[in-house]
Amino acid sequence: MKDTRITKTVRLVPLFLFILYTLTAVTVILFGIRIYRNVTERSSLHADENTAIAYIREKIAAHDTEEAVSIGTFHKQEALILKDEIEGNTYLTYIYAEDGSLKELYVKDGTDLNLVSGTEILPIASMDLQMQKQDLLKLTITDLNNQVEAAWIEIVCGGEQE
Amino acid sequence: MRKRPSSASLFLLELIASIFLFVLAAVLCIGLFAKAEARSKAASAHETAVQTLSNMRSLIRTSETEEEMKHLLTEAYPDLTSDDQNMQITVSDSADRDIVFTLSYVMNEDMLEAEITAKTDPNEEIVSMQIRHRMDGDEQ
Repeated sequence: MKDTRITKTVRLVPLFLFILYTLTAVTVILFGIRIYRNVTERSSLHADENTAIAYIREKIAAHDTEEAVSIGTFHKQEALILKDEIEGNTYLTYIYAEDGSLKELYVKDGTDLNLVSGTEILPIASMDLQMQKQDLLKLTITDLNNQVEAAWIEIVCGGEQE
Repeated sequence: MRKRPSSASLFLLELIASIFLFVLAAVLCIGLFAKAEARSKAASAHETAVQTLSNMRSLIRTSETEEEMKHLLTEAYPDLTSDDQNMQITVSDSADRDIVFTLSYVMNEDMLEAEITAKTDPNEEIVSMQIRHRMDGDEQ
């Protein structure tokens, strides 16, 4: 009688261990899922605005020469205009927001192209440009989730607002 | 005469050994996950700190007077607090952690010498920056 009880208990041990194994496995998987979700949410929260700001900051730094940076319009759309002089010809880079994207268009001055001709850089809802001072640009980017990020960019050689 | 172990005991021993190894691996995994979470939080705080420092640097370097610098910084960061030659700005990063930026500066005639430090709540310094700027607009 006693032997039978011991045998039954011994048989239950593997079952108990299996349950412990399953619970630990599920806990580890759930913990991993939570961490992964947090990391991806955090990295994507302001990713588009921050990337757009960093991109425009670098573009301005690369063109920071006299009268090369200005804010104007391109087919009635507000745009950052960067000017390059190459072998006596003027080339313009237009950076603007259109149809849910930040776009860039590099053209020879006088070339007639429209807004859709620009190359898509990344998805954003809108971009607002404002010269707070002659050498200080305020850039506001709104992403597709309506997250707003503002940045102030120094233009050493001075910018212009048309 | 020695008794041979039964196949049930051997099975149990094998099960215990494999579960022990599994638990060891699980503990290592949890440790690595926790480290990944901490690194992600630190990266998020660092990104916010660098972005804010770049903004503050632009605002300071384009100022021509001390008053203008205060005005530009207050306009950009309305919750800025200041006393004498110290200013504090608190910005939340994407992990909702507060980052406190402290700007300390001295004016030597028209030369501004400033230091900005970014710290998280338990006074853990993330990044700092020193700026020297002549307030008549010339840069150093």
